[in-house]
Amino acid sequence: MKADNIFYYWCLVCVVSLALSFFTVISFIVGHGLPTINGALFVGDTDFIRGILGLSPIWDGIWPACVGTLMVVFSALLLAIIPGLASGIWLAQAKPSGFKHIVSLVIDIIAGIPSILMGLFGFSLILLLRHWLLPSANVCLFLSALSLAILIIPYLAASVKTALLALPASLLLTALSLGMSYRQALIKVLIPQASKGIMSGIMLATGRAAEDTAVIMLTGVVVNAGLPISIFERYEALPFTIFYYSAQYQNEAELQLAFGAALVLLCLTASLFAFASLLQSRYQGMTSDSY
Amino acid sequence: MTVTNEQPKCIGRVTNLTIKFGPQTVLENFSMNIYQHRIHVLIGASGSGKTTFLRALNRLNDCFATCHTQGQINLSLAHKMVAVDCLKMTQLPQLRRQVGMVFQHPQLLPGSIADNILLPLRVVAGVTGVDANNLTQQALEQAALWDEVAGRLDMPATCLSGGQQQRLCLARTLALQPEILLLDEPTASLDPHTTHQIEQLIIKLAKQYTIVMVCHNEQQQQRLADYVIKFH
Ligand SMILES: Nc1ncnc2c1ncn2[C@@H]1O[C@H](COP(=O)(O)OP(=O)(O)OP(=O)(O)O)[C@@H](O)[C@H]1O
Ligand SMILES: [Mg+2]
Repeated sequence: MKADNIFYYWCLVCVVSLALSFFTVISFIVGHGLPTINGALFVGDTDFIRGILGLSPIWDGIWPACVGTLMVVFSALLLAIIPGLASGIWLAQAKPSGFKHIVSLVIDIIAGIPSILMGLFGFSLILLLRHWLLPSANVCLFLSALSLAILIIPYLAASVKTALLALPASLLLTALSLGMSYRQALIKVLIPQASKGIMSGIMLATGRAAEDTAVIMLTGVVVNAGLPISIFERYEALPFTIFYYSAQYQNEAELQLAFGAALVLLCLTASLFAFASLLQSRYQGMTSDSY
Repeated sequence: MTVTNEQPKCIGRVTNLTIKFGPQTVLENFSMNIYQHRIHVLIGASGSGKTTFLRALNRLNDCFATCHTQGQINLSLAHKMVAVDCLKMTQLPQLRRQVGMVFQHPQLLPGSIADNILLPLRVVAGVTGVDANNLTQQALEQAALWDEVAGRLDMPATCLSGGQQQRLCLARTLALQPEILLLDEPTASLDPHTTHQIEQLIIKLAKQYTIVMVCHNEQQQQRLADYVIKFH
């Protein structure tokens, strides 16, 4: 009885301190960031509307970095989602074999690779390309997206695999016994049922792609590029802006900018997550008929 | 029990069926005939392979990596003799629709009561809209469940009692209009009154469908069986 109580209180202490540190960090960022949130944070000295629309160049605002981050995250997700989901489904469904063993091992290894190495990989890829195929190739948003995609594919695969394996085996059997093909059972029954788990994997991957600085630093992000015009150009991104401002600030105002950018990044990822869960509830609603 | 004087028509032959799970032999050299619109009752001790045999008839045993099946199963489906044991993977959905199965324990699909019937109807048979709703009502009436769920079809199916869930599964299979029905202890979790209802239903269904069922209850076997097949 006594041990049970101690265990219970220990768990309670853990969860409370986790929540407390979470709120401390958030309120620290909000407290420092909120005062800096205004038009000038986003566009600097440029006219707000013209700057947001990309009609006038922005020199020291974070708006180009916001757009750059959104673009690089979306491109990375676009590149990663299909291979990630597909590998997860395959891992969950394939019969055990030597090949499967190797594939899961490779995915685990990729998941453990420090992101700076992924950045180096992207960088070396460009060097190779430049040397052998495309002398004009250079680091750019697309290269960052590609490296980030490889970084997040294991997260997607692992969460899809876990979500599918968590379903009772009888569900597949039931769907098949009703005359569904394997593909139909997967698309109409198993995946909708696992969509919560899959979605949290996608969120994890999104967050990972949005915060990563090491990869983009080596593959195309710069301090000043303006709004991204093409995915084959260098670009700005929030994590790097935060890093740059907080590492090299000349005065208090620049440090405050870093907090502003951090708060914006936080809001950006939060709204991505909200959007994702909205999609997920829509998807679940769509697959169930109403009578 | 089906009361008729006609000579029953043999629509299925199982010859020398041997089923193994890994090293364990579940069924050895088993043979039986299946007659059109008759009720075949399988009896035998727990673990004697009754469920496994039912799953052989719709090739559901294929889903178990360790299961190995030998022997011939021929069934007449849609007026054609089909060698069930030789069907290719791609032909199995069609077979499983024609040979409908209700499991020993109710197995629900996710979603509401209606979803459980509408989803397979839409995905497997391509029936939607009013047609699907009509088929749903018809199937629920056939399974003696309609009166209990009529007003609350969009409730989660998990809210139903065990016996109701079992009848929902039966309705789901009936809605797909199979030719042969495999029923694995269809009345195991029902009270005497509903059991009686389901037994009447099985007798009625036998006019339309060929039925292979498992039953543990001797009286029920006497009430229903045209053929009794004992498993050892
Ligand atoms: N998926 C499976 N994997 C391995 N062995 C299995 C599997 N399914 C059944 N078996 C084995 O096959 C034997 C027969 O099982 P089966 O379910 O057919 O029995 P049953 O006659 O339906 O019993 P009950 O009356 O208890 O339902 C059992 O010994 C069981 O362990
Ligand atoms: Mg059984």
